[in-house]
Amino acid sequence: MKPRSIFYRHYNRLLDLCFWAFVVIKSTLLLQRLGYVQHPLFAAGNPVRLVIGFASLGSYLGLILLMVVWAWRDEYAERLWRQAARSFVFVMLLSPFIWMGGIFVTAKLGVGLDVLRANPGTSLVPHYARFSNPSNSVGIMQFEGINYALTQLLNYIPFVFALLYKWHRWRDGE
Amino acid sequence: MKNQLRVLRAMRNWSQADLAEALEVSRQAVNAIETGKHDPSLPLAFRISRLFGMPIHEIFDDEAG
Repeated sequence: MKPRSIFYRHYNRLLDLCFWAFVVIKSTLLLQRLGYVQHPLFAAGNPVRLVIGFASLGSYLGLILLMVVWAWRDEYAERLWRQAARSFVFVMLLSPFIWMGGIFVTAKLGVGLDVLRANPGTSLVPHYARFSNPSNSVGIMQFEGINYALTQLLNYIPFVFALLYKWHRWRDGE
Repeated sequence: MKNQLRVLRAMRNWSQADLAEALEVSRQAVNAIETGKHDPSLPLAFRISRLFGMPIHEIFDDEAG
């Protein structure tokens, strides 16, 4: 078997591995940040946390690599990639509306914002990106906030693309 | 596109993985072709034809006539 064929055979498996590693790691870290998971394994300074950090970076870079390196895809995977890319354009166009809508709804309902203001230590947002005027502003105009938002967005783009790829693959299998 | 791939594969007692290896594609690609979800490219169709020793039109049916 030619070396490229090895990648053909394992492309979907690699994508699944990176995808689910990303989901598990990000979910665990989020739950840990919110205080739902207090296991000493995830405490700062613990070597496990370092391993989790590298695994998270590896899954993120793995997804990017799988998106970019066309030579690893056979024609069927390439077709799924193109379908995912088409869907991705629509998702990216709609995402600002979904994001702003989500902010509006949470601000309107007060869901979560009071908790963040009352307990800054549990905030998911770094200090330089927090709301400048908690009573009125949502802090979006802060440069640091925009910068932080963009880096977070870029962090999740490969994940969203992989999700769309898997969805198209699932649809084909139905 | 309808095709005889599954039948031809079964006649030779090959798994999808075996056929995929012979055609140098992924097992998912073979499955997608067999179920009609994906039409193979011309190069792949020719490889399939050479592998089974049959003309392309006897393996694939575009249901045109």
